[in-house]
Amino acid sequence: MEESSGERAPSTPQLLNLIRDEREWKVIREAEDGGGSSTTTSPDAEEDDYKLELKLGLPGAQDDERTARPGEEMEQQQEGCTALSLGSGCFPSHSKLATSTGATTTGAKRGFLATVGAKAEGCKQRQEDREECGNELLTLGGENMAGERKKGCCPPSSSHGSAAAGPVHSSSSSNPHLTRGAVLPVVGWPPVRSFRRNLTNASSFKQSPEQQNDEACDKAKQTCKRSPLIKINMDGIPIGRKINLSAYDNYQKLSSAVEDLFCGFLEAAQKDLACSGVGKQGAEEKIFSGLLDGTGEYTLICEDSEGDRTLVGDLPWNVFVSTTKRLRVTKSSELPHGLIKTVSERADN
Amino acid sequence: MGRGGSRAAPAAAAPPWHVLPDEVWEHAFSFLPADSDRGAAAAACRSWLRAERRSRRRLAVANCYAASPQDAVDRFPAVRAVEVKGKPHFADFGLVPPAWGAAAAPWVAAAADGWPLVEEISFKRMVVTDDCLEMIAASFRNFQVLRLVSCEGFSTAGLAAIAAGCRNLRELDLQENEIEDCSIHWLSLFPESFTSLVTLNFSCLEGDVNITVLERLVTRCRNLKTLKLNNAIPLDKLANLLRKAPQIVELGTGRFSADYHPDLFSKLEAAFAGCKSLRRLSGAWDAVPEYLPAFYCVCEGLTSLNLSYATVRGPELIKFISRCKNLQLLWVMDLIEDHGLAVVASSCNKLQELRVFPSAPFDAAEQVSLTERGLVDVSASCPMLESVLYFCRRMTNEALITIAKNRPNFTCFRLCIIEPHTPDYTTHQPLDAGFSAIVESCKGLRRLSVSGLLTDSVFKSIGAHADRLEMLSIAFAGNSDLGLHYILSGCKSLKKLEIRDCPFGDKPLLANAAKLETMRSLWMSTCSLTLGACRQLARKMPRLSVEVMNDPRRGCPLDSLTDESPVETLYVYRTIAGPRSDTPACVQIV
Repeated sequence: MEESSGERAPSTPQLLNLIRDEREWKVIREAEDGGGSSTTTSPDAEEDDYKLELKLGLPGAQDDERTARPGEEMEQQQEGCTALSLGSGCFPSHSKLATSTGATTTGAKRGFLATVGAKAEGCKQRQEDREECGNELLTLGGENMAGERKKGCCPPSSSHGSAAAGPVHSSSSSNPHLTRGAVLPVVGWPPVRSFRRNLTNASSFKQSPEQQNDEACDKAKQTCKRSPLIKINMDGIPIGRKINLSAYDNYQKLSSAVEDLFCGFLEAAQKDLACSGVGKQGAEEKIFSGLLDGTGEYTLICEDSEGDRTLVGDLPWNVFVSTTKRLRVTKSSELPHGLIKTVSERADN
Repeated sequence: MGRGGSRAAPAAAAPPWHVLPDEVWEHAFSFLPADSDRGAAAAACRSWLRAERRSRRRLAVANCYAASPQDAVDRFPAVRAVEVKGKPHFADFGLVPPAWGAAAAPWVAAAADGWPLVEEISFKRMVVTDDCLEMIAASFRNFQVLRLVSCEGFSTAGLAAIAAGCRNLRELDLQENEIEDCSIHWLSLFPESFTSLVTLNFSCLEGDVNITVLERLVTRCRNLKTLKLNNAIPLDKLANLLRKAPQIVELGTGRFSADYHPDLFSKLEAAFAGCKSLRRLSGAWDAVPEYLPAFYCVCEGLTSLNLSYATVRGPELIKFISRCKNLQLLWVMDLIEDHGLAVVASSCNKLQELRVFPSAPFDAAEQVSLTERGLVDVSASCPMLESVLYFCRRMTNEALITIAKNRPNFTCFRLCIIEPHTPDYTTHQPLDAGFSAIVESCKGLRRLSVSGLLTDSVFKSIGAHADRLEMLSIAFAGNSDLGLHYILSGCKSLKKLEIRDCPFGDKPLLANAAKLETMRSLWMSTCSLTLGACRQLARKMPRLSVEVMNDPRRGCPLDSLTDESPVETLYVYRTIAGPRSDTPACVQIV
């Protein structure tokens, strides 16, 4: 613990001042994979006292980058504010910014930059803070590879699948006033257990009778009505998952979401098989194909509040979403008798 | 003692002090309160090692992959109580791939083989299957305590095996587990002759339970002290149960909502009046304000109140809490609001632990008026307050500085400002000054979670001042590698560090590699790490297990990726067991 990295500095590669030469931040607009990236040069009033002394063994680079947000007043921010990005090039997910009209983002791990606008004013005062911080080091490594990087680094999350429109807020206010009911689209944040989400759904904030006419109470009730996470289990896998049905709008998407939820387990189980990378994927696809029509190795079954089981796909989507209480991915060979008939009918069609 | 004393001197020489039979040392060690003390004693010399390890009765394995089950059994052959923890803390929030690991089965198997006298087993954040539970029921003659916390993978069938097989069961404590409901009436499988239950907690179970069977069980277990019901038990049944178990010390109510009926109210009130020993209360899902007064008679005696599931707000809630003058622990929803906390501050002066949970965590806008004021008030008026978990939407440096001045005795301070990067809302500054004040003032701080807008300078303070800090959680904070470097090069007592969404890269990690061996584990997700650095770390530190996790859908095996590839999640922990063999495809050990 006591050893300081100063002594080790010689062995660690010096961080080159990549930042000075090209201050470009790849900003990927509409949430699309790799496409349409626009580069914006953010203005910088960088300091000339660019210290190269090693403090704690890390070469210093003072820089005032900011990831620019299209159309926002970021560009007007002349003074240096310490960059908030995480070396944005590395993770396209972080560069994905909702436009001010609030484009939906499909990646799950994003959202923290959405509040960048709010920091605008905060930055002015942070000049002094930065002096004390000493030299700051921005890690930009890999920035050039942003384009090549796949979005695969954002695991899809069932609970935030296609979250509601990213937070929209007026850029001038310091307190982001987000749309009522908008969901903060970041995985695992705030750090509460998932059963707390269903908790707020179930109840509607009971109040003493005299307060029930309160408007705030009504609004609270409205925002509470979020679709619950329903359980989904797969034969042979002890760990169940949860899924938010309202995040999808048709059976096909549901089917691929189910594949996403359980593919990790199957790979674990199949690790012993001598498969090449391609082979594994092929096997995976085989397992999950035909979930809906009964032709595959597994079939998707839904259960309503009375415990009646039906094949998924029979009902219109909206009815399905509102009546289903549980889902199961059952081995087609072990389907209950009544359902087997339906399956073969469906296969014939 | 006369051992080895053949050279008799005129004044009878006592043998050297260290030449004592093992039993004496074992007896001495039994007075050592903490496992770490026992561990230190064992490191002193070989005879102490022998004496200590052979007499160790309780074993806590904080990371199930730090040592193999067989290592544990070999080293401590006389263990009677074992606790094993599995997944990293962030698994609670969905950041760990579900197939990650932490299977309990190898531990149960090793225990069944090597520790047949085991009486207590606790698992936390592990995958426990029905087979595990069946093996437990079948393998340990004198099994008494089963505690499962945040586990998953088992069903009511496993519970049935425990109920049927564990004749001497004293505690069945199920906390926040994911339990599959197989519609098996597991409660009925406790034999009629079974009366030893002291703790029964099935609050996390989602399915129905046979109330009649439960009543009979409660009636015949005269030593029952803790009873925590699940949401399926309605209010009227609660009254009956309480009448059968008036000796209860800890109660978790079932569903607490019902239309108001004066009869039911009186019934409840009378039932509670009979519970003179009741000290801890929880549950109260969907609590309806009209029924809260039924609790009034127990308020005076309550030391612990967990209303974190009770979505009740308004004057009734506050009146109720204010009557609990002896509260030491209070968990509530933010529906209590600032003015409610002000009342708590003035009424509950013995408060030691406060947790305030968000009622609408995923809503973007503020629904309740809970701000920094509430926490300031409580910190000012509760001199014994030492542990805080507080979710709010705004904070100021001034408030934090005041809190730090008021309560230098904090041991656990966890503040979660719901929106990432939120600055001080009055000055728009980062909250560096506030958190710095906390670590400078609270010299005994062992656990800290920071949030809001923070620069590297707060980490400088933490690294320099938080000497006793053992666990640190960081999210959406810092500007550069320096932040991480300050932490890893400072924080003398750091054991667990968990970081998400911060701009920390490879350099501080590699520069402080040796520090990682002094820690239990490090978690970094969505930071700026590259695979090359992870590989380098693994090469440099063979006694660390360096796990890299990426999206399973990605397709490419890690071997084919270059050093520059970004790493989504890194989990590093020290281990004597070498790389584990049960990783799923999305996890690779570098």
